Amino acid sequence: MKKRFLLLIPLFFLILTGCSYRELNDLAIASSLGIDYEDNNYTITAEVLNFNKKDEGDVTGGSILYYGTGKTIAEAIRNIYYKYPRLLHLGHLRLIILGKNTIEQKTDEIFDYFLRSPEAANDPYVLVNNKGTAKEIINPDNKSNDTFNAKELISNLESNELRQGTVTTINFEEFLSIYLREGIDPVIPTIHYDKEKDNVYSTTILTGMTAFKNNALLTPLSIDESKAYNILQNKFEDIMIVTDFKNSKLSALLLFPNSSYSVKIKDKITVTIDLAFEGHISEIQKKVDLLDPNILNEIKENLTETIENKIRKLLQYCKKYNVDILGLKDQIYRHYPKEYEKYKKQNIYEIATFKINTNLTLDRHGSTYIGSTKGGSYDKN
Amino acid sequence: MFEQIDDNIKKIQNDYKNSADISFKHFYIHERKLVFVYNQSLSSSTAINNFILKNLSLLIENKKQFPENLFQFLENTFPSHNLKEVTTWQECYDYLGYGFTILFLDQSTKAIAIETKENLARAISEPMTEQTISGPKDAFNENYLTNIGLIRRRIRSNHLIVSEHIVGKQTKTKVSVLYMNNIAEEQLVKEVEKKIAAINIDGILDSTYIREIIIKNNTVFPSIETTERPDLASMCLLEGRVLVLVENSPYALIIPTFFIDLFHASEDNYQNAKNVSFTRIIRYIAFILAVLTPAFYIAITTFNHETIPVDLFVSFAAQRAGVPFPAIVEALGMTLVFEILRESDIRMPHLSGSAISILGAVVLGDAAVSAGIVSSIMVIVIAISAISSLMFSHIGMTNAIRVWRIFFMIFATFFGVFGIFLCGVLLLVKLSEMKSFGKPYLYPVAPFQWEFFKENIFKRNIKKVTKRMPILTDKNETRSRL
Repeated sequence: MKKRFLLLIPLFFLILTGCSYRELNDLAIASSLGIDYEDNNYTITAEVLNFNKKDEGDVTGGSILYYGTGKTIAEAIRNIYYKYPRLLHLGHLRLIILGKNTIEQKTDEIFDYFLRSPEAANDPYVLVNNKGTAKEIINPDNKSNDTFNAKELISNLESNELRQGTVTTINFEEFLSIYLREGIDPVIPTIHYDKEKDNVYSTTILTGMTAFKNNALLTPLSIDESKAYNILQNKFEDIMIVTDFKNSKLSALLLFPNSSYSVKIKDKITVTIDLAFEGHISEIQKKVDLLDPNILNEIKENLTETIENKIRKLLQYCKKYNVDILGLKDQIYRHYPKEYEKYKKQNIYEIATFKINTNLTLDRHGSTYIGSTKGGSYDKN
Repeated sequence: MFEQIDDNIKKIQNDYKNSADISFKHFYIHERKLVFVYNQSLSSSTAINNFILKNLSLLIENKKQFPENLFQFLENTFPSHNLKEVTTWQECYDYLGYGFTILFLDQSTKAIAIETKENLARAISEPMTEQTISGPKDAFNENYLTNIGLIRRRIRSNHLIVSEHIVGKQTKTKVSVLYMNNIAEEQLVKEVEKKIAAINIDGILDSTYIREIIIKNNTVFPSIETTERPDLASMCLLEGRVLVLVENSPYALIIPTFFIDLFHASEDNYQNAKNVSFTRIIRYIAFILAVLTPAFYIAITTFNHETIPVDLFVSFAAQRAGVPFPAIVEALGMTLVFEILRESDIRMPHLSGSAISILGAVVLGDAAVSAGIVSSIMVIVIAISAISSLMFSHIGMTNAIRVWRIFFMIFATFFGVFGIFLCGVLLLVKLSEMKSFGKPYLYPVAPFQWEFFKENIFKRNIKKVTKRMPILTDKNETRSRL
């Protein structure tokens, strides 16, 4: 009995061993992928990490660009093999750049391909060129081969999200889930290539975000609106807010975001937005005594108003374009399923009343100006 | 035996075919002939000179009258602590083999055997394979009585029983079973004695012979451990284990041995419990690394690429670029070379040992990588795995790790990480199926006992270990009352 079982083991090897055995050096690791759709053809631009070993242990950085065209995405990717021998490995994909045409016309097809592919990573960041093709981002002057650096672009994207708040990243899976859900519209970071400037590298720039509704890219969000979106999604780590305070400038850092918003229906729709942060005054140009609680309150009110203004701007944007990027309808659908049909077609931002409560704790104000009224160099001025 | 002394001598000469080391010494007492027969290589000439010949000469000089029953007289007169009457040829040859001197007297069908054994063993030296920084530094040697003495010196109790068996038709080797009769399980002792008594073989040259014979099914993991340290042996006796000592073997067998014992080192008994716990955790990690590293490397580089962070991926891929073999061939090749190096290092005399190290370092570490035959990452992987396996002082454990490492590598080649999991299940099944003299090999993990789990997986302060493991003893569980 035991021996018979032993005979089975090599049989298992023969039967169960799949074709997924691949040596590392047979793979071309794609770190970013540009997908364009023009004239009924897909064009794939793949940025593949270059790891040719030159000398002992010295790994050259940089990347190689692979191109393929075809009637379908699958064909286009397969057609890369006409020119390049190695297998395109999408498991470590970190960035997908979509051209304007692609996202407006072929989003469903892209989702279909990536969901079917067993290997492709499902969490690459999605970027969209709202003014042209993906190829012109990856290879702007059509000849340079290794200027594009996905790694740098990604860290730029991430630091913009965490430190500036002007971008809120969305990865492929999140994009897909928001796209497929009813009552919520995705917001995608945009990038574009500035043809006017000479320096190729610096001209591919992150520009902000744009909402995507009914397979169309809308007007991009302004910087304030982008920040407001980031604040509401709690994505930032620390962002800077600059306001006017007593005819001079004041800048404060917002930390530890803990915001939420909820929809309540009682005859009317009420949306309560609760914002909570910790504030840190990083620069104050007016000489004031920060130990005075009244002054602190003044600063707090000032900052609160600035933040709430940004939020209101975002709500205005939503109202203007009738786009539900905050997913209010989605909340209605989940909490008030019976009412959903009624509000489905309406512009929710027109009929709802918005209440914004901001809870800003201003503990960290520094100590520079405490003694300013009693002496020191500030007294002389 | 014959009445005529010359017949007796002739028979011995015939039976030994005039072997050069058998000596005969003739004597006369009042015209009665005496012959001493001894084995020059086993007997001490000093003892023969001082205790037999000298005494006999004095007797002859001083005494004018000898009693009629000369045999009886001599038997009573010789100053020896070990004096035996010999009546059969078989006995005669046995005693000659032990280094006794046999005294033949004419007109007598009996002979006298007087112990004149030469001490042929080396002196008690430091342990060679189980070295420690602190703790006692003596080790068993090839002298059987010395070995028993080393244990007796540590356990003076009359409950320490030494039960002796003679095994081996040609070698007549003494094999003794040592146990504490107030601690050890009777059942276990009986079984060990039964198995040793049943051995029917021409010769036992080392304790490992006994181990091979009494182990039920021969698996790669050692189910009986050996030790050359009398302190460790004594500790095992106190725990209720049974010890087997074999003549001419510096290694004692410890019965039973659990899997967890292979992770313990002699040093553990003499260090701070908390530090030992930490070291033991490192040993478990080393075991996992030793068994799994090459397999895991093969799995993630050939199947489960998505598990590697992208930067590491690029580095791995760059290292592998230009290597002509698949990962498994590379790994098996490197393992083979390493094993050859290790084996030759053990076999080589110490004087030429450094040549091997240089060859290994230069050929493997550097030249093979620059030549592009293997990737440098594979050298690292095999080296980590090899170093981790050398952490275990039990050679049986190192060898078992080697076998399973290759199993894991083969499974990883065909199924990736899933294969490692599959092989892990096989290993677990194998280990939990194993028994060491009827005791579950994975104790105290399975069957689980929290108190002894804590003590064996980690180490507890000796003050807290007040009980013996109940699996080893059924009568005297209390160890201390503190």
